Amino acid sequence: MEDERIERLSRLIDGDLTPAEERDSRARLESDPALAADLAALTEIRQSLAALATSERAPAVLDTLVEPLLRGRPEPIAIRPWVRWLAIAGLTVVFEIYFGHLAPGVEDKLARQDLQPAAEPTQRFALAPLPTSSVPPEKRLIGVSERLLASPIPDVEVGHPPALEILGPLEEEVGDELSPPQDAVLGSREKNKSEFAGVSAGRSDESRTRDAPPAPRPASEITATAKVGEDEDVSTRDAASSDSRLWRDRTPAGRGQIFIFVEEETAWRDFEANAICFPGRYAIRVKVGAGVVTKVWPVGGATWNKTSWRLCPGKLVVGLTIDGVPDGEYSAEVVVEPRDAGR
Amino acid sequence: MSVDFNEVYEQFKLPVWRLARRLTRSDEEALDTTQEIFLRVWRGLPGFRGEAKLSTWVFQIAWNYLRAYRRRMGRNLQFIGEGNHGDCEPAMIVRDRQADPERRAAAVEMLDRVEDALRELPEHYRVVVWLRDGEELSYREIADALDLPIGTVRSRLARARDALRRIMEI
Repeated sequence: MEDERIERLSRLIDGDLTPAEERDSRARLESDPALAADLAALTEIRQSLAALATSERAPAVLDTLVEPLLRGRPEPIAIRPWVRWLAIAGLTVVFEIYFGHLAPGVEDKLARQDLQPAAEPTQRFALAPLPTSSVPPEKRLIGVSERLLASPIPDVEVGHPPALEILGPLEEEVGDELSPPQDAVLGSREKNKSEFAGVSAGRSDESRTRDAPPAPRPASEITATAKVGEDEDVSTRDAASSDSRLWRDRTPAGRGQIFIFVEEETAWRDFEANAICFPGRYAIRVKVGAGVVTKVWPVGGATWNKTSWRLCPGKLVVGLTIDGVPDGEYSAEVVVEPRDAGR
Repeated sequence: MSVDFNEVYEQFKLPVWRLARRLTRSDEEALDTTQEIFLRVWRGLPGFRGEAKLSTWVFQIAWNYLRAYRRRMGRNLQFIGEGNHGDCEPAMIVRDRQADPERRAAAVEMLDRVEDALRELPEHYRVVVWLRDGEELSYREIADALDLPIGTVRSRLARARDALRRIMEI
């Protein structure tokens, strides 16, 4: 019998079906003699097991064995004399080895350290009950990973982006995976005013190869650069940036870049953030269709990172136009700068 | 919540011994393990607060102990066979004395068949079908005692019954 069918019959025998399920099963039984025969067989087995249980009587010797417990004294239970003597001898040897005359006493050890022995506990606790069903299923350890693995990765929403530049091969890696892009670190004491202003003018300048032709700066970059001079004194902000302002601080993202690796070339573009993500670099995989980033998957990431956290840059880049990149799936990287980078 | 050990023992000595017999498949070991199980019940009873049903709690202790015991013993287990009923051979098996000899013989044969078939089941099926059909625990009680999801209890019970049916060729 197939599993589902036998389980339905089994539950029918036990009265575990809902009224609707039971009606359905009864109707099938009337029209299916084979099913009825299966039900009869299972019923006979159930009755045989019940009869087997009622046919047995506990041996009287059990009462004798448990008698000390019934009288409240568990000690004399079923320990054969030679086992008892062996245990005593073994314990004596162990005691002599570890706590013999040569070993200093506890008091001596404490006295050497100028400590007092602990007071005797004034209260002793009863044995805790064994694990019971009171632990709700979601709090049981088993099954957590399965549930996490089974949870779907949500699609991210489409945003509204500007234009893209196609550059040559990316030969020079900037920064490393564990630290922010150098040009995104605010308040770096080595950077002077003009260098810092250049950051907002383009991470792109560092990302492209030396041989590659310089890409025209997107209008958004130029605007952002202009704001540096207009709104804020860079040296003031530089001083305000202390070491305590780590790049990983939960600073709402302000802008970023996406780098899409298309065979030997790297397509990149700037974008203005329309969502809040941790600043940093995110390895992703993107799907491009009709010149637009249509889908994003997170790649790797520490196990403690929530999927939503790793998906965050997806919210920034899905929907970006990427003219010149053929339809397909590509490795990519998103750099999210702190909000005040280059502002 | 105060529960008297003597009452617990009187109520559960037979079910626990039967379960031990089913899982150890040896009368001698069933006695030893039943004794150990009640020692644990005796120790744990002061801490029993009634959060679970008493039957669930007792069977949980029994199952945990028997499972650990089986693991410790590995394959070195004695099996109940012909003439291996130990000290308690005839006295503890009470068959249908009321029926006529022919019916009684048939009933005894059926019980022997189901006992043999039960012995062939894997442990995790055997315990579920025995707790349900032998001890008449509810699905929920079985799930709690064995620490299984109730859906697993349903499916294992159905498979165990189906397996018994195949073994017994009913």
